[in-house]
Amino acid sequence: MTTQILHARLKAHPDSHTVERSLATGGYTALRRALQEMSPQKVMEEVKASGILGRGGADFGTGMKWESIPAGSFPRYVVVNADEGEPGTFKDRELIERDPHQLIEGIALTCFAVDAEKAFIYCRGEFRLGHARLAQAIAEATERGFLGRDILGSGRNIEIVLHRGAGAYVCGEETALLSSLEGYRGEPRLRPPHPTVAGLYAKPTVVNNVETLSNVPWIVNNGGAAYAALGTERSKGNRIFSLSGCVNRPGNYEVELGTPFRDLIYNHGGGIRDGNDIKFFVPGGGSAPWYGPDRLDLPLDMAEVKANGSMLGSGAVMVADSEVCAVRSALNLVRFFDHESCGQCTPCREGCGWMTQILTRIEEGTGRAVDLDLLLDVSDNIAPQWRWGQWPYLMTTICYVGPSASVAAVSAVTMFREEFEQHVTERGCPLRREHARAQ
Amino acid sequence: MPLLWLAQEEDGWVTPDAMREIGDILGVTPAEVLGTGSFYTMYKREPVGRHLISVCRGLPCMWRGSEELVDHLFGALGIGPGQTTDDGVFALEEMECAAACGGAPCLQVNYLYGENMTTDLVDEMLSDLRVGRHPWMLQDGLPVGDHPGKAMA
Repeated sequence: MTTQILHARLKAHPDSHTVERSLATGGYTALRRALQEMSPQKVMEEVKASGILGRGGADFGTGMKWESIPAGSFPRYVVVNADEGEPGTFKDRELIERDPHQLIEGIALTCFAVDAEKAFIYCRGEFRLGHARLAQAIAEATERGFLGRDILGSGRNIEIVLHRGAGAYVCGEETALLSSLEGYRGEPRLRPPHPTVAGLYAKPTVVNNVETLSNVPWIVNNGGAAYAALGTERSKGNRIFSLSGCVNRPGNYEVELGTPFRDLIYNHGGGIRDGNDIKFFVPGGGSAPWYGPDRLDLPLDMAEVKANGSMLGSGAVMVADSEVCAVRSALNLVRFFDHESCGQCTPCREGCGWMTQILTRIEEGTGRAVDLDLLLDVSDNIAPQWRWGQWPYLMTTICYVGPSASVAAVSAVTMFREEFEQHVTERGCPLRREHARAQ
Repeated sequence: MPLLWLAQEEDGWVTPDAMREIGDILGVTPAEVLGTGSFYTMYKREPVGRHLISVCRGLPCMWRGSEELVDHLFGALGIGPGQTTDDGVFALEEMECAAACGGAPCLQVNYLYGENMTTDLVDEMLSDLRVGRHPWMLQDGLPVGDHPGKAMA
């Protein structure tokens, strides 16, 4: 069993979200220690030494991000991305609902390290319980002097503003999130400037994911070196993987990076339903290129997965078994990105819609033989020249929403071309008909 | 956005009057308020039923039977996604990945989760809701909202 950093409290205690349980199990000791014994630079050094990469999907070094805030520029903000919406991902919701104080302590430490007085949590609108728990936890932390003015007598002020999203996947993209937080439509912005230079209200802003910041108290308590001792050469520490789909025990599993996919799926996840074979799996959320079962022995390691043409992304592993239709799965994801396209960039706004239409007619039995290449052609206008097996891709859009639709479509057509052709020649989904016959 | 939430909490949906008022408060035109409001799926621009049932249509939920749940709800309530029953009690919609794939297929009622749903559990849930009980709200210690707009309570 891997050392549990993030899950320690919530796996052991049903009341892990309460301030009493948090305080009884080491909550806020890192903050106290940092304020009394450490300088902001020291906290930043420890986080840098931990080697932790952002857990939202971009794999950017957290310490490096914090460091890139320009000196002397105030006010500056910390923004927490709690707008979890990547298909297959449900780790942040659990951290918010079951251990909000761990996150709040991480936010306070981050504010301390980067010398910010104000933080915003952008909480996904649909997380009603999570929002309620965060609101309560912020009130409790303020009451006990961990937030507010002159925290723990240190002379520092830290305020957390809880913001509620309202249903838009694209706001999980950090620049769209900032637009939304400012009260506009959640449209991504061109970079540079990066948010660390000109983010919220054009001020220097650190945007971090919930899981990333939930690691910070442990790193401060145990030291960056202890964290860096976990994981692999290029992917340090633990990560929570959201395992879902056709496995017997779907759920969130905190494992050390470097663990093979096979171990996650077969040991933690209890294998595939009805003893079926794996047809394909998506290693890092709906935006990641698909893998065949031949990649099961790859390690859960950001660099390794990239070298093998995909990404670990948000840490969502979705497993499809032999009963799953590849066309319908691609349609599901492409339709999702079409629905969530903000409409700013033409290739994404128009292309995702076209791809949805093409996939719909293939799945429904009115597809034509030319549709497969047409699909690849449309995709090529969003992620030019991208071939399955390559990483990363080029893109004609500001953000990753459009190219992610291409990724799903191209993965499916490349891996399962015969199945697509069968849909066309047999005028419909062969798997559906099999099911209908069986019933 | 907080003002749009406030308006929806008051009225159950964001009315044109509310958008005008928000515009006045912020010094922007009602069209700008609509521009922001219409970007987000949770702001409702027409009245919705008291119990908003949102069935997740994410990929893992689809693999585990969410389409059957929507079909079943259509049969039980006589409404499709995007519609409200004539008596105003139920509204049905499909939502994008609800971040509960560990309990797929899942749905939400007024944004509280029901996980590992089956058609039998849906029937049970509907009869609970018809008599004003909310199967999960009470369990989570949250107050029973009387319409989806109250979800902030």
